[in-house]
Amino acid sequence: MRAEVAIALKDLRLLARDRTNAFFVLVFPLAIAIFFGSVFGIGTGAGSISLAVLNECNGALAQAYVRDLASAATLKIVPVPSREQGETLVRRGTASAMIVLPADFDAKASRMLSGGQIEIEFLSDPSRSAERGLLQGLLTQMGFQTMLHAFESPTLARSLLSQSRLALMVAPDMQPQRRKDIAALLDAAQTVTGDPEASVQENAKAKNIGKHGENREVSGAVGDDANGDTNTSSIDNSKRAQMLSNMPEMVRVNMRELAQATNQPSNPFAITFPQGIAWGLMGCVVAFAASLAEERSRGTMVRLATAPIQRMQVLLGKWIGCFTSCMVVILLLTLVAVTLLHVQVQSWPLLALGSVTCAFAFSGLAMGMAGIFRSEGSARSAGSAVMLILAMVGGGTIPLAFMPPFLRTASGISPFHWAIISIEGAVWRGFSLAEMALPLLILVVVGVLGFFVSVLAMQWSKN
Amino acid sequence: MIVHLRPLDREDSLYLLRMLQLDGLMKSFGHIKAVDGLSLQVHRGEVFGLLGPNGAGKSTTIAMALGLLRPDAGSVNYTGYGSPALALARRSVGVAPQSEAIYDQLSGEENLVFFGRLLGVADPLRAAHAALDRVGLLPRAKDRARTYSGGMRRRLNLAAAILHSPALLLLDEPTAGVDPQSRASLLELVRSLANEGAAVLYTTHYIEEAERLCDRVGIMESGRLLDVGGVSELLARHGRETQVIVERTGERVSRIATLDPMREVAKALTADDVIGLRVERPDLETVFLALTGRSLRD
Repeated sequence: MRAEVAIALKDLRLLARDRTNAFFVLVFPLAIAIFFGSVFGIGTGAGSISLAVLNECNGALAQAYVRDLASAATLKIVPVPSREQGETLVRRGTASAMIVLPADFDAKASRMLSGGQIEIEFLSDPSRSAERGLLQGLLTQMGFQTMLHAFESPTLARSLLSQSRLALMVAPDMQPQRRKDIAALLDAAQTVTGDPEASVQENAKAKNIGKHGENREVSGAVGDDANGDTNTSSIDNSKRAQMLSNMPEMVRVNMRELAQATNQPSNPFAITFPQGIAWGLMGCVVAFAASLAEERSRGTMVRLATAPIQRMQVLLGKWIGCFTSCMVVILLLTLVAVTLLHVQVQSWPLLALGSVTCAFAFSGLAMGMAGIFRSEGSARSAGSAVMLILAMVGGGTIPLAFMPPFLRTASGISPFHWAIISIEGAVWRGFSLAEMALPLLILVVVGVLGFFVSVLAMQWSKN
Repeated sequence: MIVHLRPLDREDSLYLLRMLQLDGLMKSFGHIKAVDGLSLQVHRGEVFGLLGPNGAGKSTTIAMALGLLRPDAGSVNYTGYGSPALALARRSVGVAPQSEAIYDQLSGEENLVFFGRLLGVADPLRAAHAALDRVGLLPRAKDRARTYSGGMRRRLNLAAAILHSPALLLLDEPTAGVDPQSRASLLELVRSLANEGAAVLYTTHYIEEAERLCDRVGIMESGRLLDVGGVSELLARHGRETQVIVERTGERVSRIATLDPMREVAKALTADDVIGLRVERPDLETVFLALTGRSLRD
């Protein structure tokens, strides 16, 4: 048994002394645990979806609707003064989507019991389809909620009912049976909201139900029921839900994607193609970092370092190799995307600029990683792990919307985030040169920093 | 004006022949002194062997001589070329690192052409073929290096060092892990390079190699150069007398230290009870033992 213990102790010591192992055994799992824990754990998604709202109505119901949206834990409402500004936010990726509450929001809402339907214009970022589905559901849900809240104010409810009766009377094409059904519905609603006697009866009925443990109260009044009507709390929730379920869909969300807004054909590959480029660049980084580390461990670096050339030339030669391979990856993927997948590029000059900058950043990153990771094994394994973490943080694997605020802020440190944004900016986001400036600048800084680290590492190895 | 030149004396001749000069080199890694005040010169046409066990500081010395490591103190000078930091000096040196510094995925020819370009060789392909021919690898020039045997890879490693006909060769244990046959051919090649005028600094921990190849040997231990000289000089200074070991019947063994071993052998051969006879000549192992108090093979 002594021998077995000795072997086990030896292996544990080896594990502890190898920094690559230490990284994989401790740092990497910790990073993964923190990342996914943050994504799926406490505080998930709080204010994670940024929604630009253009309220062209500003009526009581429209405002109530916006307030209801703001109360949703996953939403962060960004009011915008104009359609253009909202579109810009979506195009830049600052907002996941924009909604436009039409000028007749309140007018249509007041006729909802007689078939009125509010149409909300919805402009989404096509690269964030996961958020789009979530948002669509939320918009519909909040429409119902706003209407429920409206019924909590008897004054507003009565107004809704009277306007609906009026609309019903003048509705020209309604089938008799349908007209009869809606009239019956309005009568039923009247007993709930308008008739004091009916209200008392309903109240008593509700109390009776309450004794049996059913949920009967609705809390969280909308601002415009501040008239203090005590009947508000006595309206049965299930009754209202039943009443509303008989109505046609109140909020219709007219979906539109940003690509359509910018008059370009939408193509799902246009969205996945920038991400493909980022992953291709990651492959280049790891391969080059490993090959540089291999040169060092095999001794070929000695030959390079003792050749009658400057050390900077050696680094530059390595950098050029990596840069070229990054460019080849981008060119090949672009070629495939354009010819086979029919991706349409909005701005070729900006794509060229973005590609060169991405290649610059990632080749600098490869040099930096080769400087940090001294052996081929650590460059390949730990390098891949680091890149994977950067890809995850940068939104390469999990949509940013599903990340907690601190991770979304942290995504700014990931070159993947900026690489994807810059390529998307040129391909379908319709970025101007000024809008491209920030991601490009950050990528240039990443490239320079990486190269600087490699120079430092080479200097350090001389000591 | 008439300039009177004095005739060259021995010092002048040695200066003119001197190719590499290391003066008072010191290098520490943390609290470990890897090289401690090492000074030596290597002359043209000479193979200078640095003999010492692993960890003696030989490779660190080579790294400083190449300018790969910055010494804590001391200087390195390639006579006539300057410090290894200068491109001219680096063009005059060829190096065979301890590891096989070649690219496995490239052929022997591609490896050498690449290194030739780095070294500024005028016709890299021609130089590559010449070097491959010299180490006997020309028939395998087009094969990838990963298909070479261990000995062939070592020869390719050496070919990369001699590609540009350097005046100075720094060879760091170039025969490590090589079979005896390949080792013999490598030593022969190094000897011929020195005979052609190259100055060779050769590190090894093989006594036989140092004795067979080196004109002068420096004994290294714990970063210090303990003594320098020709093999016979070192033996004369630190070697014991030749030992004649005579085995007699009844498991009796006698050791006779003598300056005239042949006389002792002849005497033993006339005795009736002698059943075995062995002569032990002193070698560099004996010298190392005398200088350090331990065997080189420890």
